[in-house]
Amino acid sequence: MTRMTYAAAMVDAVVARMHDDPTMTLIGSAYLLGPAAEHPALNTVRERYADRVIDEPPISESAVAGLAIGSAMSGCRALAHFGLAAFAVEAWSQFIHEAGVAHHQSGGQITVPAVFVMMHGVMPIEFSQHSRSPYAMLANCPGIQIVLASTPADIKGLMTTALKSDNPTVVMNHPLLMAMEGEVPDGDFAIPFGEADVKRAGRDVTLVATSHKVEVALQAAEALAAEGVSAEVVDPRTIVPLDRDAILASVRKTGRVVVVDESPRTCGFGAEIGAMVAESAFGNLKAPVIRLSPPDIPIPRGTLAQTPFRTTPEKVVGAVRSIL
Amino acid sequence: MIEQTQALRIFESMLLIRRFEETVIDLWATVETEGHRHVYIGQEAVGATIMELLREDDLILTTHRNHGHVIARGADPGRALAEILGRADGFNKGRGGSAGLTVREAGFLATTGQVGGGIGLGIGAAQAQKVKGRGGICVTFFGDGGLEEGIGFEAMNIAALYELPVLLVCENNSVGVTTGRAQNEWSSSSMAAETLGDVPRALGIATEVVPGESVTAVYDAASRLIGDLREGRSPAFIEMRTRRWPGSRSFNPQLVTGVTDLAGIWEPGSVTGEHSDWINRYDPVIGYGRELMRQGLIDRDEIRAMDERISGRVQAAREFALSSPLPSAESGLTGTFA
Repeated sequence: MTRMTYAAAMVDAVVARMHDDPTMTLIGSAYLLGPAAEHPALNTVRERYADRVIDEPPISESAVAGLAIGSAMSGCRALAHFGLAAFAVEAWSQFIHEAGVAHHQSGGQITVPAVFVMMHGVMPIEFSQHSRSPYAMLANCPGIQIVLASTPADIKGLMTTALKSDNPTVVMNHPLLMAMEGEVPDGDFAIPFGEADVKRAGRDVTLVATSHKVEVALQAAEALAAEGVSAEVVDPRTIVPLDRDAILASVRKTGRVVVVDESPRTCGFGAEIGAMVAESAFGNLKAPVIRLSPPDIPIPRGTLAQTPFRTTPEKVVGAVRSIL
Repeated sequence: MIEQTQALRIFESMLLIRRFEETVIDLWATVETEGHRHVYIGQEAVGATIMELLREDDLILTTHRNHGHVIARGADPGRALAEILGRADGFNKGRGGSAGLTVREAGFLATTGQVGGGIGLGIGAAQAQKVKGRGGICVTFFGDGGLEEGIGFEAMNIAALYELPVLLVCENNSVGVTTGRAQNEWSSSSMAAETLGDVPRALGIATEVVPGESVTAVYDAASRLIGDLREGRSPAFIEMRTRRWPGSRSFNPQLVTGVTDLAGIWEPGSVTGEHSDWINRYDPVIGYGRELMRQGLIDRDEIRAMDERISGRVQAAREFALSSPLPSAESGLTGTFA
């Protein structure tokens, strides 16, 4: 184990795959990997594998996605990073009509081992065209795996799996996670997709949380414990595939569920969890499902984006109290 | 300069595409009713000639108008026709149909009906060829409409910046079309640039604009550009200008020019009727047949024998496709992920 930041753990996985996979191409503006960009190992990769690194491509998200997907269809793995998920929306057609469809439509002739990395979330000093969490939109387009990690160890393990997968994968990171430190397993470390992680065990309420909101849910659980309430925090880690069994098992145990995530409310990730619980664990529910998500409003700049758009531990605690 | 054996192979490939497409249209007139298809009649010279110039390890992106490309590349016409009919023995197990027909083992990556989408994928295939380092290239086929999408510009810019070995083949089949909508026909090209090749030229991409009905013109331009690509000078763009086939329709192409009568090759006077001008001046099969006869490379009897051989293959393909079952409805529920 080595203590490192979330950003460094992600770079660790990317660098290892660049070393081990001679077909892999890395595409995207270097600094867009966040604080990871200054990681010395990434610079080594840029120098040693110059033919397989396309640094600072034009501001052309569609074609950058096409470059990654076309390489992947040709038998060469590719990772493209886009900076913000808000920018990657430009590439949606390539994601959903090409990457997500090719394997199925070709009757299995084609595989697309491509990974798309981007940051999502409410950007503290940014504006509406930067603050986006569009993973529920993508989950509505079959054929694309979606990763939302919440710890340094998880991003390393999930990124490694993404870079070994034969399927297209979108990895969305939260800027507030980049500097988070934690113990990360050394060497080749992969976490299977579709396996939720119970980040904290509990018996009174299930907090289903993703990405940075896992940390928020854990803080809320700590505060609730002081009040004698035992909250279980379930982190799905991948939205597609989704570990429905783990979430349902937790809800059947606790009978209460609060979903804490950053996709907008209507048809968001919380809506899916609520519907699933209603369909499959209705008889176990002791209270209505609660969704804590940003409202269906463009996310404004600065202080305007704070209180109404941010789910804090206090809001989670309040929601739990309301259904006890 | 086209060698004799190459010229005959190209002509045979063109004739195979023509008989194949006539069969597709006939199937929808007699057997099938569902789904739309885009045929390659009038553009045979482009696909057949480009495929003659490619290596086995070259990669290809194509569109909803793919039949001619797939057939010219040597894919089995029976399985191709089965796919077009959505049958279980089709290359895509019946999931792609006419617009999605793809043959990975023949070098085709995704066949995409998303207009312009393949232009983006093609630069990725070219990057893969560069990484593999064995001199392979990518050929991306798209129509004049494909260039109207923004991704075409983005992809050409990236291809030029990073010198990616991609040949962009823009099949402009809108030449001469002015009244498309009124005839239930696809509209003409809607670009402000009259010569589409002006767009890549602005990015410094080696560009040729050629008459797409002419095998000789296509061959000369494409062989030169592909040779340059293999030597690392890249990318390249060809605008293949073809006169719209009069039978083109938005959803149901009609064989208004009739089943091609090859007598038009050796008896130009036998070509009559409303569409005789298109046949005499722009039909690439008739035109190239005449040219080969002028050069003394083939005679009437040899053309007839070739046509008989091809018609036999297409008839066998038709029987194979029609005898192939429809896939079970449940079969489409699997295979979203590898």
